[in-house]
Amino acid sequence: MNKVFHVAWREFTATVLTKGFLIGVFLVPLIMVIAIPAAIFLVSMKPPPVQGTVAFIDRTGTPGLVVPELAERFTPEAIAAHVGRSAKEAGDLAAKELEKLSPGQGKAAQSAMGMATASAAADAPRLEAEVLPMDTDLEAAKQALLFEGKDGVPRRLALVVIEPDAVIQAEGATRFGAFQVFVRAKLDARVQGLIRGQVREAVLQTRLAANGMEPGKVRSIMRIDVPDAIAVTSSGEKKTSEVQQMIMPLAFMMLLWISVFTGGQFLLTSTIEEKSNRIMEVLLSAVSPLSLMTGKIIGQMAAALAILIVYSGLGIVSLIVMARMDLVEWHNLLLLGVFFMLAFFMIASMMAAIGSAVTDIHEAQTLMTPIMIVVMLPMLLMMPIIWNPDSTLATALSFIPPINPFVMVLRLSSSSPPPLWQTLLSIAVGALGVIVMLKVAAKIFRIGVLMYGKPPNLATLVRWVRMA
Amino acid sequence: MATPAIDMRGVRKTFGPKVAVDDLDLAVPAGTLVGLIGPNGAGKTTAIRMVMSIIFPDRGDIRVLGRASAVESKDRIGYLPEERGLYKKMKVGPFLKYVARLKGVDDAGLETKVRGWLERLGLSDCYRKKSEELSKGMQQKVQFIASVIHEPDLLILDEPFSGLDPVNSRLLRQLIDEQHRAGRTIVFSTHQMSQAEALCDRIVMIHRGRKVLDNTPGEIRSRFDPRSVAFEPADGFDAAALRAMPEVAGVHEGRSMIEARLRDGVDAAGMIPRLASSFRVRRIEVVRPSLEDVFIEIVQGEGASEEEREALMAMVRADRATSDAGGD
Repeated sequence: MNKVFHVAWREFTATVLTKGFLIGVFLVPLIMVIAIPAAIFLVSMKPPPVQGTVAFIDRTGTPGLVVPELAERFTPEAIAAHVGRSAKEAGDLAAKELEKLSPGQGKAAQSAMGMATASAAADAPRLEAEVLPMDTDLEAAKQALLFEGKDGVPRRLALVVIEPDAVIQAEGATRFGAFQVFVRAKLDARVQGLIRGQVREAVLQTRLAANGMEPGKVRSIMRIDVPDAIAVTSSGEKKTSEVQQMIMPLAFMMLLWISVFTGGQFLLTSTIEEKSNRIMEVLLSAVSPLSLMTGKIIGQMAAALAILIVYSGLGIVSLIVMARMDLVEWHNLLLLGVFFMLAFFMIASMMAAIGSAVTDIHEAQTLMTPIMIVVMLPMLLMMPIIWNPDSTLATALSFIPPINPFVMVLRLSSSSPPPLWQTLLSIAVGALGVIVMLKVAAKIFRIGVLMYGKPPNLATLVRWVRMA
Repeated sequence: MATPAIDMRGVRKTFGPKVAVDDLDLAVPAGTLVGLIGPNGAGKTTAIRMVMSIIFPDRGDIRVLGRASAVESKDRIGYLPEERGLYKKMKVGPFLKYVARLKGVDDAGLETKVRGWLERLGLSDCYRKKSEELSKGMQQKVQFIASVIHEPDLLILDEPFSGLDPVNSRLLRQLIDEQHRAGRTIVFSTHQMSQAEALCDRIVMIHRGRKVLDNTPGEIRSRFDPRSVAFEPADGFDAAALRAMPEVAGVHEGRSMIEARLRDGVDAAGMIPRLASSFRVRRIEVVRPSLEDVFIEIVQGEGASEEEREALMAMVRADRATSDAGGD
């Protein structure tokens, strides 16, 4: 037993105390923590606001109709006010969503949004309307989009042509006309969007007015806020949001998946290394193959557990920051640990068996194919299970090793967790699977570690299992 | 007599259709230094791995250090496998400590022990070096330390001399000798007969999975009587007259040496004065059968005709004589 510990300890330190591991496991989340604010900062560093004119050719033939509406919208002040308003609306919406996920945070976010609104208004493009005569030559007007403005003469950024039937329907037609927009090359897409949006609004406004409707009223008629669904459970009502419903299973599953497969991968490479470095026999003169394999699996399990703890710790910290620890049920964390063990021992014993049978990582590829399929299966089945955690598919897969831990973790953290008997049965089946797999792996390992030469195929591995 | 360090009886091991070791009996008395010789693929490594309980025999009984298997006495056995390596990224000091711990050595004084060994083998500055930074010879020394760090009672070395340069070969011979004098039982396998001849108390030869020889070097030599006399001929040497002598069974003319194989029962030493006076020679000597000769004789004995064997052995000798002369 002591020897198993020594093997495990070496395996753990040799894995964890490497630059690759420390960078991969600790630095990447750290970079993300630093990079997100940095990205936000960089985005907030905007270039000076765009300045120029938007030319209009009104072909409706009714000069007093849409032109005043356009002229009113295309002044620097009106544009700034509009940009500020829509920034505030977007901010309020985001704050509302955030408030749903994390009470208290939304309010703070809202004040931050207020500042953002002000800055958005200040950074709004300075656009002025330039109304061209109705019979202006389109080609000539377009030419102006090619020239840079001189001092005192503002640049023309865009040319908008309002079609004749844009406001008043042509005789017998069922559709209205619209408008064309020509822009200068490389004009910021947001500015383009702003121009199109404002012209659309102006045309719409004019249409409503021309058809005797009150624009404000129509708008309020058209507007309806879509509420969140409220789940009625025995323990009370709670709002469910689709995002929330997906995030927890996804997070739990990814945690399990990443830690298990990173650990498994480490085990595979370290076993292959011992074999290709010809150190295996030295080790086998001191420990039995079974102790060696056990020690290696335990050591890598500790490394994988370190990954799991770091990442779930980060997740918990961010939930605490968002004051949404109610999303995590503590017994689920415990069960995550249990299913981690089951998944890890399963995958690790497969990896140990393969690692022992081959001499280098390339030879491992062919044998890895069936495992990779197993590995990808939870990923493929993830969405169906998240949407329907109680489906027959999900229930059946809960009892099929080696993917049952992944399926159970998805179901446990979903909005409708499985009954207790299913959880217990899944653990029992998983444990049984692990025992069988460990025995099979031990047989392959014992023969494989001393086999050099032609890499074995699956049939050979099966023969080894029968032989031992 | 004390319990033998290794006692194998009727051991057989097959890999698929191939019989690697067949009906092998081997007793290694405690405190002896035994050389296991045989051509490549003879079954030496398989026999050693079975002694180490790394693989298990299909049939037969193996007792190691008085226990039913090496599993129970692993910590008292030092083993240098034929396939040996180091962790590339692991530092030498921690590696040796790790191996020692696996062999049940206490942590107390372990560091001093490791440093002491490194110093003795001229590797004192390597404690903190990764093994990939070491030369091949240095790595082999580290591997040797790994096999003796726990002061085993039984030391098993599989092809310890392979890949070593003459300087390191000599160093290893000294180390083996030292371990032997400290009372340890040592078994090593080699296909370099001269190493075995120089070092061993006892020589065991394995061929095609079977033991074909098990004796002391002296006894082996006396059993295979010298029956040849070699000449370095001077001008006017009469080879035809030599062939005509009744005691001479055959003559082989090499590039610089001529070898006369004597008939059974002829005393080679007694023939020297007669031959020296009858023929013009610069040098004349009795050819002592080396272990190599014995080895080749046994190997060739299976399925080879008398004449083929004769030619082969004479060729080996003549070659050796040439290289000896060239080296002078």
